[in-house]
Amino acid sequence: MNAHQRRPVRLGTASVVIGAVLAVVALRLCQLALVDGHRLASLARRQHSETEQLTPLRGAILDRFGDPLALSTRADSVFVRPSKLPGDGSEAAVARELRISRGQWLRKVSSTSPFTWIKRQANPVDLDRLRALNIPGVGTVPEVRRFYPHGRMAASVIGFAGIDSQGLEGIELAYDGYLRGPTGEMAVERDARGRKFLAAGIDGDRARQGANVVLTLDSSLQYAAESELDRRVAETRAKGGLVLMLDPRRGEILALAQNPSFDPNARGGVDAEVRRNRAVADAYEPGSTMKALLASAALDQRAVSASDRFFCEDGHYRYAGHTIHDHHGYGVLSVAQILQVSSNVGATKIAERLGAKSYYQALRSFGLGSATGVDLAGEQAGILRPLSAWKSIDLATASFGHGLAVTPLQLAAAYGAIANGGILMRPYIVKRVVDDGGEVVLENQPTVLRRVVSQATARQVTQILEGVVAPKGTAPLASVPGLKIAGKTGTAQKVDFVHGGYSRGRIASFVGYFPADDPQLVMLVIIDEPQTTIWGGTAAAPVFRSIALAAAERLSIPVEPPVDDELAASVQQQGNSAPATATSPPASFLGLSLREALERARALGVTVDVVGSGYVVHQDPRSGAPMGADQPIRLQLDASGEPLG
Amino acid sequence: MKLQHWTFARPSRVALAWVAALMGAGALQVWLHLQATEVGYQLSALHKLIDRLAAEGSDLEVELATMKSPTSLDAVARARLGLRPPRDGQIVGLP
Repeated sequence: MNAHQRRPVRLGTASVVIGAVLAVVALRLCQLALVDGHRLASLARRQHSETEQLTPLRGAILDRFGDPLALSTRADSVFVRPSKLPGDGSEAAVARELRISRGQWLRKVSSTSPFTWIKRQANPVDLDRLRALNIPGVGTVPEVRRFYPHGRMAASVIGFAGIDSQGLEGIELAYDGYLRGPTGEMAVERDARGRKFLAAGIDGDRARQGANVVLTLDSSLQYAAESELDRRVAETRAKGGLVLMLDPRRGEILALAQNPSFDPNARGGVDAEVRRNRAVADAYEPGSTMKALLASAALDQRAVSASDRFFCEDGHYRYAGHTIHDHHGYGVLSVAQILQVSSNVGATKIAERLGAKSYYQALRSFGLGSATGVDLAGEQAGILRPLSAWKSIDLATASFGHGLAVTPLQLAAAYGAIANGGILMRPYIVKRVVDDGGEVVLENQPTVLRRVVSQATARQVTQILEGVVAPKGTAPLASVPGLKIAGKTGTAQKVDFVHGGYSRGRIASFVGYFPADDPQLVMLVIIDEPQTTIWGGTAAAPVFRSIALAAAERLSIPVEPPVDDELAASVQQQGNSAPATATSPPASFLGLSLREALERARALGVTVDVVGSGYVVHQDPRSGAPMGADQPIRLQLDASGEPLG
Repeated sequence: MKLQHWTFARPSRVALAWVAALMGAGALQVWLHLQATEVGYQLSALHKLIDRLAAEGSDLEVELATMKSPTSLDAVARARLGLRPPRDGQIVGLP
């Protein structure tokens, strides 16, 4: 057989061999695809596919104007898998880059656990340097870091969240379910080099940001309250203090400051005592601030009238086997005067007239002895013993605020009822909760709890309380010229919970509201154990005054200081004779700045319309020209100050 | 056996077309797979970019909120600008 003849044979043989090999391959393929296919596919998926957990950003906590009080940012945490570390010493650089001690590093990597955190929520700059090292066994996980941009502002209200983005105290805890947000998942593939890629797109279950919680707090008022409180606590060398502001018409809490406070960004080692929200969690004996509630109840039930007069026994009154004392001895005082000078003897006599049962029911109606229902965690009900447990002396002591305990919020809400024409509102601090799509998922509305006293009684009590800040009252230091304020001082002994009875410490307080004829704000100021002065009228009232000034400006409540007599006299002397009347010629305003023009207008008792800014360049009617009754003077201002025409 | 009579018939055009079609489909499948992987990488990079920008956004939000906080503003107003709260009567309401 020659070569030509052998060729078909070789071809045939090769075909058979190739066919056989192909058949084997085909059989193996069938085995892999049909018999083991499911198992192998699953193994492959496990090797190069994974589901990544997506951590949602925790929702923000905002004040009533959207100013953020708590925010979240992404912050990666560093972990290590000790068994996968190269062991060549290169990993020591990790400790250096993350600025942790060598001892700490060794402790963590010698752990038998397959996974150990090295640093939670590390600094982004450190992380960049760490990633550049690219050390096997060291990885990062995205996490959420909570941040409080205002530091210690409203810390006791907001509370704080833990390192795992879980609410631990305050609003963070109470609204954790809304703030946390649902976690998500995303399918990712890994290539041979371990790089991730999104083969299935990004249609996975995306993590949604937690809902934002909008509070009723006003951060400007909160800041004013905190700074004034801190200053006064330092001045009086007090143990602490508290300021609570609420809108009596709606029950919204506008500010809640307490001292001492803490910074939730650095809360490590802060005592639980400091972190507690004392406005709702602590009850104290309110002292004489209770007399306004007594007067409201007595007037409303016509047990007394405002003009009724009581003999105040020159400051010593025997009642139920005890002697009731006044700070000063008083003779005959009207109901209004009893509150104005804060006579305990007078209050006891009003309470006698009212009767224990009526007074007890009135206190219950004002909300004492039961939680207000505010949406803050840890609210206490205070202490108001049942009437059946009252002894004979209890009526007298309760009339001036001893033998019972209230939370600051209860007292502020009760005064809110008087300020609100006798209607008690439920206080609240969360205005609404809005999800990341902008949909409102929860909205709190003002809630009327009940009518406590009639509108006429509330008005009457307000007039009486205006006398407290008058020069003859106990709190002239709370007065703001041009702003009608109604309020009441309180100076109470502190209960000694260790030894029983009362301690030497005092709680000085002032609670009031303004403007008295249309109250928009109730404010309670408490100074705990002041050292330089112990009285509510001297320790707490000045804080009220300072904050009231700031609050009036913030809430656009007009404050009309009385006309400065010297200014009015100088204006009249400047050749424009007597103050303008209906038909008298107007004074000249030309060349005055806006401030000077307005001060002159007020001194003269005329109204002005202002156009432009700068200095007065034209006025209509002109100085000396006749003008009609109640006609305003139109002032045109210009930056040049050059008179027109 | 007359192996010498074995001949290779010219493959039919239909068969060639099938083979070409199958090869084309295979190549297309491979190309599509590569494209999908490439898009996956791009998507992953974009996703990372979104995350990074979102993180930067929230960092900036935190910084803005810190700078706007009344405590910071008060400090700047007093220390840098020499401002102080108005005294009684200094606030004049506009008509």
